[in-house]
Amino acid sequence: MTERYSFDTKDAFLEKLDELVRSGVPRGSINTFTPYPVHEAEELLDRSESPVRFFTGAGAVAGCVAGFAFTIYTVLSWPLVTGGKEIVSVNAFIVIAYELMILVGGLSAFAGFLFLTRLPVFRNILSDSVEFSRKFEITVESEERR
Amino acid sequence: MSKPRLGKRNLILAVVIIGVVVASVELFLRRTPDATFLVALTFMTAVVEGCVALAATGELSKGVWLIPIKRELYSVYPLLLVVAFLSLLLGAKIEIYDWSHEPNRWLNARFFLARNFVVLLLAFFAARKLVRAVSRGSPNKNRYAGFYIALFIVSQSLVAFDWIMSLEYPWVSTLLGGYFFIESFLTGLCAAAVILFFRMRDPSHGLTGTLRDTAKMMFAFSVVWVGFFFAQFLVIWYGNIPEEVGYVLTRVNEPPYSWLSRGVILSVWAVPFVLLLSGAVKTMPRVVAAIAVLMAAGLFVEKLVFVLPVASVSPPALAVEIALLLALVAAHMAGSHSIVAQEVTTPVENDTRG
Amino acid sequence: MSSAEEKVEYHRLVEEEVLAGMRKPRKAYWAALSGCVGLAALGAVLWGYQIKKGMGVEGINNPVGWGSYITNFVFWVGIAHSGTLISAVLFLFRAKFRSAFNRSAEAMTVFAVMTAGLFPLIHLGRVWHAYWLFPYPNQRLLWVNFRSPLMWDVFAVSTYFTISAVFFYVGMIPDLAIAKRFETGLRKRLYSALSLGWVGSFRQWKHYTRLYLFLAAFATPLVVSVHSIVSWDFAMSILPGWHTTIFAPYFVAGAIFSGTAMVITLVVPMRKLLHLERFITVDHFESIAKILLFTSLLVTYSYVVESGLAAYSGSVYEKGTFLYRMTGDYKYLYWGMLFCNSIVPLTLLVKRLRRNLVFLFGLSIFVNIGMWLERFVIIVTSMARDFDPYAWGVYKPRLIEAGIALASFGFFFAAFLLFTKAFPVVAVTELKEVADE
Repeated sequence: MTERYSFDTKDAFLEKLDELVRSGVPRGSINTFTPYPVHEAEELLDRSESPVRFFTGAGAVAGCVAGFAFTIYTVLSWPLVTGGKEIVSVNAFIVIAYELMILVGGLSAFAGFLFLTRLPVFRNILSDSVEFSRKFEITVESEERR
Repeated sequence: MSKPRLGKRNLILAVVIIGVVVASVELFLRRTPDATFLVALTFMTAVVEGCVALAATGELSKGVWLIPIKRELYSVYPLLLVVAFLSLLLGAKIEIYDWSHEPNRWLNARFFLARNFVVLLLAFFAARKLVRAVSRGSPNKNRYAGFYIALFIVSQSLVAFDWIMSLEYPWVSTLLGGYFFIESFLTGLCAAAVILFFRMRDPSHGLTGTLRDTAKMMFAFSVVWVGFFFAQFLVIWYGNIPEEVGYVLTRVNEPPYSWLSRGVILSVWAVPFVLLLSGAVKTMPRVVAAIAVLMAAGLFVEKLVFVLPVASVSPPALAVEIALLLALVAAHMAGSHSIVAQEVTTPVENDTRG
Repeated sequence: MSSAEEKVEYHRLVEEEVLAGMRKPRKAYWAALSGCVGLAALGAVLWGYQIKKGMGVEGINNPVGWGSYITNFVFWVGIAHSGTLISAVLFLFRAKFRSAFNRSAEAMTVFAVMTAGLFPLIHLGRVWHAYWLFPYPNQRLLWVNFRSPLMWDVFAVSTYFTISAVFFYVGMIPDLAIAKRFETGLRKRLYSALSLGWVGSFRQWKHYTRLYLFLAAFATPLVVSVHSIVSWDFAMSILPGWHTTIFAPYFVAGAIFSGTAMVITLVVPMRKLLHLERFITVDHFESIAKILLFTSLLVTYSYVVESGLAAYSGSVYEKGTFLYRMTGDYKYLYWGMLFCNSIVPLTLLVKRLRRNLVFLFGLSIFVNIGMWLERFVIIVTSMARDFDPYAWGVYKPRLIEAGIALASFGFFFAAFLLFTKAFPVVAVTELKEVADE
């Protein structure tokens, strides 16, 4: 059985959420649906850091390394002096590596987000009333349904 | 914080004594012109102007996080007057500039000293008007903050172009002015971190949010700094034209300047970047203050890197002068209650617009 | 926004009034759209003509090898930057006033980058060789020249387009989920698919807020680096007037300046036509006007420093270039540029004028023209007169270039008009969040 509580305002929503948490309802079984991110709810339910940062960091490092590796490899593969610059002109390659770092980091963050939230979710797609996006809702899954 | 010993009269006395000591030493004791005083003055100007600029920017952008430390930041504004008068002392050292032997319309001793003095003086008056407007809660404070920022930009640009760039006339870098005012702003942020360290020794400080925001700004501006550094370096490196590249080659390739340059990049960007990425570090006052001191030291060493290949510096004299001048800054901040009214740190009502 | 009922009512109003903007358009919209599409089509025809006949049909030649096409490229990339500033940088600074503008600003960024990206292709001549710009393994073991600033441009602009598009899309996901609930039929399916089944659950918001923060944190260095790299197309040369270290921050300030003006040009009419006065207020415009004023002052500072140090350096070439800009063949464009960029924006020091939307709109047109002129003056004058007097020459743009430049505006405005009917032009979710604080 799922208990469902629906509120029109953030304050009423937070009051009930606080009450539920205090009364000992396991946090893992509480889910919320809000029109915008409610910071206080995050404080109450789950303060752990989101793993999106690992995807971002890994992507950024990969992009940077790839930028340098690729430019240095290609320039050593056919060493051609252009503009009197040294063959491995790191200053110029910094620019390429920097841009790739941002590109791959950003895309990895997005991919990480999709993975962690398991989006896109096609089941939910064709449901929901107009009112839904204005309500603050709390659902509590009871033990049997897990 | 407000010890009776650091009242206004004592501060003015300290300023006069230290000013006279430094001036006498430079004028009478150290006759052979060298760049010691130049370096000390440049760094001092950066610190003082940067602190006030940080506070003024906070006024204009309605930065609420800055409010608790505005008093200490504004308290150094009288030192702008000191710096203005000390800048005239450069007249005794004008021989370090090659152009002093062949002056032209822009680069001649009289105009050089006059324009820097006037701009620094105007910056002092703008800062004084700003601090008074902020203390009264006057609606005009934004206008004065704007004036001060404009004068800050102009005076730091002149410091860059006149005091430092003309040492190697005719070398030109149009970005040097911007580079210097970013450095000055960053120095102001470092001072803010040190202020917070001292303020947060009192357990009921409530300043963790301010510390976190200061750390974020230090992070952001160290990145802006390295971006400006790279922009200058890359253009000069790539063009490789003889009239420009010699300047950079000396400072980047030849030891000992190459070691100093690398040290500067490490201390102003690389180390703070890595350390300040962590959210936890941003709330530790001791670590943030240590990073700030490291950055300020790096920015100071950079002034040496600019100057040393062309002019000599006496390390003991420099150490003494810098210590004295920074002692003045510290004294003003410690005695800030007697310089700036308490009302400065009251948030302004009707500040709900972001 | 104090009582609970008012907040609830505001939520409903935000959704309905913003989404009403996406309803069936009136005749005026269709007229404007056809005009813009027509202009863009004209550009396509002219470009086709150029491909057929060759690059000689336009005025770019020796010594001025870069003319109006590169001017347009730099102009449009510059416009794009302000959108990212309003969206990403103001987000990091927690400036609440951004919520009214950021969706339109992000859309402007994406379309401006698309428009900008066309110009290297137009300028290339042999467009079918465009893929040579990208590094791919080939039989001749050839790789691109990574030391060239033009190659840095390829990476920078591609990265900027990708990240801006992702940022724009991610910001819209919660709003698209709202939009789908108001629509029926094909549009409902489209928004459902685009919103990925978003329901605003705890886990979704948790990861979303981190993602948005990281994207904003990545987009911010992009604002600075991309236009710096574009400026380095010029600064890496040794031409007087081009080879100067201040170009990177100067161009970035100029980009934000021109982009902010374009935001005003787009949003003032959009606000009136879509009845969004409740959500985009005069206070918002005043904040944007202050950014405009500040960047105008930075651009003026750059003009003064550049010319001043040219005189200071004693270099006969530097002095010659700046004298040529002020008194030579393009002097009307130069003084026009100074008037539009440095003098006219000073009027924003007057608070009443900052809050007058008609005045702001007019001013933004001046700034757009002034910034286009600035790019043109910088690019053309340094090439028209460089070191050797024997190689001096004058560049006169031909009609085909003017046509393509106008067509780029048509393309951009057409894309923006389509956006206003396809997606919510204001960030509904963020407005709700800001209102409830």
